[in-house]
Amino acid sequence: MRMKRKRRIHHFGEWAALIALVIFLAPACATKRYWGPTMGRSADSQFTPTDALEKALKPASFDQYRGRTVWVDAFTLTERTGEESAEERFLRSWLAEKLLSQGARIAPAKNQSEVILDVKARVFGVNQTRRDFILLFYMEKTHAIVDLHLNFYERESGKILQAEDLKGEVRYREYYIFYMIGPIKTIH
Amino acid sequence: MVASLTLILALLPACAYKDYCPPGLGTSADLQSMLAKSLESNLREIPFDPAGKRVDLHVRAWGTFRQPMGLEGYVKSLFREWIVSRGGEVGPGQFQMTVFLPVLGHSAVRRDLSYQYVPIYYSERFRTTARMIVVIKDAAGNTLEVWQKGEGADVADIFLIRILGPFDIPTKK
Repeated sequence: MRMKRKRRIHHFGEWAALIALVIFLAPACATKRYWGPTMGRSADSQFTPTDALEKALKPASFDQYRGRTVWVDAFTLTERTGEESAEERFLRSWLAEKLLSQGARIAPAKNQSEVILDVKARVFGVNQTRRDFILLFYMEKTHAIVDLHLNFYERESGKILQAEDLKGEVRYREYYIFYMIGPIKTIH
Repeated sequence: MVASLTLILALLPACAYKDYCPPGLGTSADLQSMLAKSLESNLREIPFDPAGKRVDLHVRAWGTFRQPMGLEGYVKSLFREWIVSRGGEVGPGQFQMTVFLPVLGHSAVRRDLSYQYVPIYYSERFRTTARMIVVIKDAAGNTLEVWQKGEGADVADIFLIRILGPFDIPTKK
């Protein structure tokens, strides 16, 4: 009888310890949240595509347009409120800077250019995946992809001078151990 | 004690979720990629040879984007490249090509299979629909050809016990 009682107390103690452990671990859980539209686009969703864009443009050489006047047109499949999306504006300006740094000139108007750089972004954005290993581990992964198709047209003749595909990817992860320790950040 | 802890951990395995929450994320990379693939696959089958022809190109879109002019610009750029790369020219002349995009959109279906609260299988199936109508006219305005195609793309991301994955399964090209 006494043995049975002892065993019951022992079991009760085990469960109490377990519940105490859960209660200790469960609070202070870290969760990254974005509340759009007040927060706008998250910082992770901004810096990863720009890093991916930089990677995509690394092998590109615009040397053959040195001294020539270029107009940049950018097209994406992203959401917009006006005629031009934020991605298109950014892409156009970024490429204009790349061209300038390699000796090309940017035309003040399309009809004053010698070459038209037509950029189609098949992808310029991120995918986000969240993983929870409840009690132990929580991770947010932001995977940015930039997939560009570039066409250089001679404005006068309309002929294609050069066509190029450029692709860049960046994976950014944030880990939280026990939902409390972190974020531990990695970028690839 | 250890057994109980193992049991709890086994019952509460890792949960993976793909988050699509604009505007925090913008238009997801998956969606853009699938829309681009849908448009490109439709373009491959147009029964018109633009070689040696001058084509006046117009695009009219209606669909998923708040402002269709952006989509029209993308499609126009795609068609321009298609015409020029096949030896044609873009501009007012012999032929007029009007591209209508009555549908360019997507839907997502999420499936969860669990047993006794243990998630076994979770998938997100992403399907795009792109319907394209191409009307080709001569300089006098007579319709020479009307071609239409409804091609989409279909991709499923599968997670097993919510920790293994995602496995990308293209269900239709």
